[in-house]
Amino acid sequence: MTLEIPVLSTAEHQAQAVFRVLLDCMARPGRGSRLPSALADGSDDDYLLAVLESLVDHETSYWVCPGLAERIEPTMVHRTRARAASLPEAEFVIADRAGLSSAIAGANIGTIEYPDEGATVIATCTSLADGPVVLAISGPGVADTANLRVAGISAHDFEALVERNADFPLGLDLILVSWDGTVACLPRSARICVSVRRR
Amino acid sequence: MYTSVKAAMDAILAAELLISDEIISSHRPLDAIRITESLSSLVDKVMAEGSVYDSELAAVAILQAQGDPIEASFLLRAYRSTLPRVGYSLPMRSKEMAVLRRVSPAFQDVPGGQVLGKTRDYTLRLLDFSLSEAGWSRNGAKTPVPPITLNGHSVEMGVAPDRPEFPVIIDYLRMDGYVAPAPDHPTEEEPFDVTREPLRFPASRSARLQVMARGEAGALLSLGYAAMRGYGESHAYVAELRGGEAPLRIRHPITGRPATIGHIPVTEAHVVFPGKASLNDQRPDLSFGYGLALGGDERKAIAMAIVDENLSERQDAGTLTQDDEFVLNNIDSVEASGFVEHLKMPHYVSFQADIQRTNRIAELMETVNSHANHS
Amino acid sequence: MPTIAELIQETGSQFTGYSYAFLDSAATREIRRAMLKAVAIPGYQVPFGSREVPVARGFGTGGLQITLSIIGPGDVVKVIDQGDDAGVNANNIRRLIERTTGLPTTLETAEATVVQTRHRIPEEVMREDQILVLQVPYPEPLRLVERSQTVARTMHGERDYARMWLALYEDVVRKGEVTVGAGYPVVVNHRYIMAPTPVPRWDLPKLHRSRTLHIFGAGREKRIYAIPPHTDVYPMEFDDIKFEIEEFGGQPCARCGSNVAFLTERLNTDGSRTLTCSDTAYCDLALTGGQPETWN
Repeated sequence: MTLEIPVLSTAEHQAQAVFRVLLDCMARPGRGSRLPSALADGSDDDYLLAVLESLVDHETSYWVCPGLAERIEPTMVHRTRARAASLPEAEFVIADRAGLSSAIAGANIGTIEYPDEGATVIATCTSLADGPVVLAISGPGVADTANLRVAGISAHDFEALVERNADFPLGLDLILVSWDGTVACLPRSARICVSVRRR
Repeated sequence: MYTSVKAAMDAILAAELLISDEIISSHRPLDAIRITESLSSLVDKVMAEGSVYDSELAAVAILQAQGDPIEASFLLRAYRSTLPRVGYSLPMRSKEMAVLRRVSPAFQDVPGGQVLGKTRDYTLRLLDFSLSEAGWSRNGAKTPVPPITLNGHSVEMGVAPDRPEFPVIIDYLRMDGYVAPAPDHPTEEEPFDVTREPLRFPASRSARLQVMARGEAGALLSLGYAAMRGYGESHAYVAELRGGEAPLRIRHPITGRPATIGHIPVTEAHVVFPGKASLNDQRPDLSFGYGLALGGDERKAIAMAIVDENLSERQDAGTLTQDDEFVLNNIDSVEASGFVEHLKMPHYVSFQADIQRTNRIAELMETVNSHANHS
Repeated sequence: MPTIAELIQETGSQFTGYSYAFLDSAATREIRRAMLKAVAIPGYQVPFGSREVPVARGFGTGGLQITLSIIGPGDVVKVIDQGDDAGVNANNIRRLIERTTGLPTTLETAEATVVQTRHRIPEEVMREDQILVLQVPYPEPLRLVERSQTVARTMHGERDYARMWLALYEDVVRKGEVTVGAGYPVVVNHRYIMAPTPVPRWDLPKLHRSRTLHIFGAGREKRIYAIPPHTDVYPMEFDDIKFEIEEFGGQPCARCGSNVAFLTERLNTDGSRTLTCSDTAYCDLALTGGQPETWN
């Protein structure tokens, strides 16, 4: 029985490469990793869209905050074919700085039988290398403590996230995507201490 | 490497060769077309349990599996999981089926009439020696079947007669209040998709019916039989059994209107169980069970209908045929055969670990015994 | 609305032949989503729509679906069964991965980016840039005390593990100690009781605060679960009856002489037994004078 080795399409290769970065980041909360630079195509949203396309398809639902809707919806409708849903029902919740607090407050945190139904929140930020908000992270995936400095997201939003994730295993899993193509994850299992660095 | 990787791979390749050699070098190899023509029941079973409606692929799988239906279904399922899901079909109504056979054993006569069609039910189970090698060479090619007429219409074999829809008998029973009316709206907006999501219990009706439709016919037969023999509901009546070609429709991607994209052969069973109403519970007296098999497997359709009724009526009652976790988790041939046969794989590491415990317990017992002897 | 032809074209696959890494892109994406949730909730069994693959259920289909959904260009895959690269099932899975991806495979633990295994964790300590994929026959540790998966799920949700502890306690009372050998239940991240797959007790300490991501796949039972790196994993044990790993009476491997590896017996024709390493790659390395970092 012979079988020709099937071809890996560019889109599938890209999705696989993005997923591996996400998996690594989800397994190591607070660690920033770069997405492949080949994904950049001149738009601010290239990296965010690449993350969405690697995870979301016609079998999933999403909610996007009003500020991002105009830029993200065309991709969701035409490329991923994901179903638009209300915030409490969406599996994927996409938000920028302005929309994040309502996203965190309203997204589904799952049930004790099926905590995996808690939403994945994908948030944009301006930097994951340097920023005023300092997150000291411990728990599964972190040997000791990991520090993440974030710009472009309010400290209050992280505090709200900590509060919503207080009743583990219920909670939200956050994927942060920075404009320069760095991503970092804060799964609900992460223990996070939020502080603000003064200049 | 003390067991060489190459030696193990050589052994695997040799095992494969032994099989392909038998398939290719058999005296008069069957080809896919002859399998579809001559072994249609087997092809139906493999398509149903393999969950792919493609008789040629099923025939290839049967040939490759040397006639093992479970192995052939497995080949087809593994192929199936590589196919993209491009859409969902629209609900089909029994009424729309182009009927080749239709009986209602519960009544002497019914609207549309009893249409016996193709069945082995009333044949004498005698071996037909004309099909043997010797008979074949003596008689040559098959003698043509004389023309068949159905209610005055002539019928071509295997082609649905061009005639109006047959009314569905269960609708009459519902109208008269013997059976609970069908719900106005489907209980689920979208059917549960068992190929996409693991089951949750209690399983929704759509999930249950899908698992049974893909389930192994023999397993369902056993459960349906057990249910009739006292491990479940009592005797069932078949309100209607119909077989034929059902239209498959999807929503047209551009116009949004339903479009028929083909027909699939199906067999459908509606069964009812009397004795449900009482003075305390004034419900319709007959309960209802539904079975559907891809192709012509009437035995499976009826068994499925019996089990469906058992699962609907007594979710938490005592017998196994009424326990949806038990039934639905144990009737899939691909899952069951794989796990039973995985015992043939090496298990020496876990065995070693367990034997260590056995030895340890023996040591402890010895210590306890020697203490007892001393005191 | 797209046409059906467009939809088919976009999936990147054709109706003839097979996709890269066998699974179609929708299946791959679903398994990837399940993996991220599994990692985010350590030890929790995420349900997923397990697909049929060309090897039989029970032969590693869960592990295989995970491996096939993870790997891509740049990966090197190692497959072991009972610790042995030469096992027939390991060969078969390795062959499938090679044929559907064209990726290189290896027998050396250190060389692999992804290791798929059945019933063993390699003796050589894995690195943080590697992933260990474990094939799972029974994902539900509570099946010991509860047959219904629905009830077991609620027990996990409510952290209602009293019956599980009681079962172990009764074992101790009746037999003198916990009789579970392979597949001893563990507590992950101080929250979920998890089935570590039937690895020997020997391998359980390797799960505790490991550098490596462990992903578990149960194909027939349709669950995925995970242990992220640096996560607390303890065997269920009582204060006064401590968990013990297997011992080999001080005997070294008859082949490489190692006394820090899990050994399995080979029965000789005269009825005597020879003990050798179950991890053949480690045994080979030790035989040629290599000194990989090990756990024990």
